[in-house]
Amino acid sequence: MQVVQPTTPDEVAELLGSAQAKGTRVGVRGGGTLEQILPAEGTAPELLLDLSRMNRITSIERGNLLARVEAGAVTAAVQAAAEAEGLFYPPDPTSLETCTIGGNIACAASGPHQLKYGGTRDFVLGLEVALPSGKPVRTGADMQKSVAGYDMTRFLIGSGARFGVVTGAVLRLLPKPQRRRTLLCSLTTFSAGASIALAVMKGGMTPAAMELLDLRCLEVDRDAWTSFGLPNRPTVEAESLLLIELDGVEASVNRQRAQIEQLCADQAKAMVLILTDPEKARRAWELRRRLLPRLMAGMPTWAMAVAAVVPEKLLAPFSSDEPPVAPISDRPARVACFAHAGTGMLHLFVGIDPAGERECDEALASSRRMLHRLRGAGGTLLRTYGPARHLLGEEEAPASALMERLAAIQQSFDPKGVMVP
Amino acid sequence: MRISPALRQKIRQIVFDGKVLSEPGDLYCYSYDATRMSFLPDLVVEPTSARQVADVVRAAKEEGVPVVPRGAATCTTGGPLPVSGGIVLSLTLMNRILRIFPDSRLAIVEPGVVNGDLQAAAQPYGLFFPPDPSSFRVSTLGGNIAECAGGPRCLKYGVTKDFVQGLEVVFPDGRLLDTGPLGYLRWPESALIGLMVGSEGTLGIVTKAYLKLHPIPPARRSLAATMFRIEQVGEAVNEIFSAGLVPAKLEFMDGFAMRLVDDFYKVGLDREAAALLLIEVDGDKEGVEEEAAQIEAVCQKVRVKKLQIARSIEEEELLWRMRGMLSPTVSRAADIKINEDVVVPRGKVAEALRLIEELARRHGLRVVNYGHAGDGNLHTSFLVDDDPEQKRRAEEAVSELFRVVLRLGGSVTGEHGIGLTKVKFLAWEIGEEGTAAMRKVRDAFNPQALMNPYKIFLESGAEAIQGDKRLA
Repeated sequence: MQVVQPTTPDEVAELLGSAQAKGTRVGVRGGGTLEQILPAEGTAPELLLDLSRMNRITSIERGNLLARVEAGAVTAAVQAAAEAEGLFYPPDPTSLETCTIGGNIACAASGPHQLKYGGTRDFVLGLEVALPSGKPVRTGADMQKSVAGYDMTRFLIGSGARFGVVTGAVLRLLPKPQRRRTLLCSLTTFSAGASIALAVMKGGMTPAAMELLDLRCLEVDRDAWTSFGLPNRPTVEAESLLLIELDGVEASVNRQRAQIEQLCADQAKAMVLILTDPEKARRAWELRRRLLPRLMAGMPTWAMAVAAVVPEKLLAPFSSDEPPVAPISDRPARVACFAHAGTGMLHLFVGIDPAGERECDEALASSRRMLHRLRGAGGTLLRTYGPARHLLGEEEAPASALMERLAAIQQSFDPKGVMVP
Repeated sequence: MRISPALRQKIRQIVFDGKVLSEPGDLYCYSYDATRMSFLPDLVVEPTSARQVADVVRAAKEEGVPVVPRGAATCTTGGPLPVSGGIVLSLTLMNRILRIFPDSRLAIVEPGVVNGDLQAAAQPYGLFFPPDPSSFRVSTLGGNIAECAGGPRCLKYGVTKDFVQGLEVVFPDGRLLDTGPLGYLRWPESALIGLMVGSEGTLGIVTKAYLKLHPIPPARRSLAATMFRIEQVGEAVNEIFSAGLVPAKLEFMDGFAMRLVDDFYKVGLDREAAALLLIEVDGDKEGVEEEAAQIEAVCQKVRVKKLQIARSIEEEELLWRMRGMLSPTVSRAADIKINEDVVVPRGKVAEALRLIEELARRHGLRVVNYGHAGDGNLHTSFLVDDDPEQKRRAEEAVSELFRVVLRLGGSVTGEHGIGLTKVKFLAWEIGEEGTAAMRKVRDAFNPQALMNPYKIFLESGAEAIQGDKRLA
């Protein structure tokens, strides 16, 4: 396999043009984040376009509330550049320190801010794309409002490299909220956390982010969480954590904070910490982002399912009469749950040490039962990750009526079928 | 285009509990939209279920008969016109709100539900559907989705595409697909939803939509700033964003529009002023107080001529009714109103307005500008007498308007769509390569262009078809 690091959109287009002519299979790489969690499938590319050198943030335009970036720009760098201008780029995939905007676009990445703001798909105004034929095109516009023809931007976001290679993007920015406040709500059980989250939404509030972590998520970083002043579990029943970010004008943030404190006060043994120090708040969200690597640590193999259900059914997968599968001692199986509580997106992690066969089988069986119950509640398994992902069951195959159409588009964009998705 | 008796018979059987209309008077009623152009269909079909839509589409396809989906026909670009005859498939009988999940902020609706009816149904749950085109009292959600409709509130909350979580679609070959309420989270369903919203009925027919709702903000406040100079609109908008505020609405009208409104409503608008900026902030009570105070400060900084804060619901309603009724108000001022829907990057609103005034003067035309100042979406209206010479000049002026906004990095349509009337200009905006890529998408879904033909893309013969189809 040949790896090329192009530095301009024209170069990418040329490489694609000649690959199309020769029938060379082409793959694309951004920050390499996905490779760590998703094993490669299908035929390996013969030519790999590594876009990490096309990482410029070309401009941040305050008057137009937008950023122009190259595909290889790192997400956190874009966020920082926007903040420096008093602006805000909300999409916050957990790997934001290493992942690239191009990669975010290819897989429609989103993170905790999905709740109030949406994900990458909601913040891309336009794209610069090299088609498999080698021709460059632009999609979208510099404004949020433009309905000239089809929304090719949203069509391409999440479509990997099937229909072309994104070389640059125009990103929508927002004015930076005047005030941000992070709340840590420690609750006795996972379901207590889920019900507070639902009550927050019912109360008409839409926090910028609202993440729910279960006991095992807390255990892998217990010392760090305790350092904020959260209870240490051996002394208090602190089995789940709601991590909330509020933003807006100060009066509104304060009122919402008070409302959430009131909701938690009605729960026995609940505890709310307000992180007024921005540095502490930053650390809390960093802890949330390193959750997956911490869960993976020390486990010989693992699998993760990302599923979704309408938010009010978030607890559907959890049966009260089923005992917890993995002991807190963590070995040989580690099952953990965390959720974007307001949007109904649920992550189910299973770490496996094949040496402890019986526990692992139980953990997997229990996880599969959870996913089954989630489907029963109208939920859907969105995708699975990790080397042992096949053990969690099959993702639902998309309808053939749609796949045939997309195949037809792919065929006309990429007649020789050289693009590796 | 004629429809065989066999197909007619088959369709009557499929749509057994809906309507099948073929009387000339009925056909005429389904021949136009807000462009006032008219093309007679051969048959009007009003199905009552997705299954019926699918079966009608399949039956029509087998005989090569065009099918044109239609909602309330408030489209201003000719989207629902049956240009080459065939079947107008009206979705207005499919107007049930199937379910509202209040705690999940989700509504499941049929396409014929009127936007305003969903608002009314969501209201008791403390929820609303943010897209609010001026036509919301009559336009259907299916139409809103087909056009990716916007509206004033979209500044803060987003346009229609931001609220579609899933769709049930009948493809042009009659196959049916339902992405479910979480389709937006998963590829390839997300790609389909992305394409369908704004596809103007050329890729398929939406038969059910899963729409995101939003909590009704408990408080709101409206402000109206009268400007000495039109540039102050842009300055004020810029300052508001720079302060970190995103109002729910930021709407403007120029001095000419103010005088037309005042002629009609007699509300004592300043007839010497250059522009009026209408602002609405919403949120919780505490937040609204604070935001309104900050916006007052911005207006002082920009030195507006006058700042008025609505003190009662009546005052507030009057302000927004003036804005909502601008399009018909402006229509009264001339025989013909050519209403465009251009967008410029928001930092270039002032420059665009200056250039538009200048080009109108050069073509000897009266022009009114109003629209969504916060997102750069300008509704430029040329006022034209029923005079061939003036009409010709107006046509030139419109072409030049598009050149101007594209030069500023803008778009020829922000929320009205390409439809039939703007097909010439699509390639101006997105180029030949971009148009070719879109055609490939259309051909994959709708290979013979039997579904809503002559829309979005410039087809050979289209020029002749447009001809003199304007209603008297």
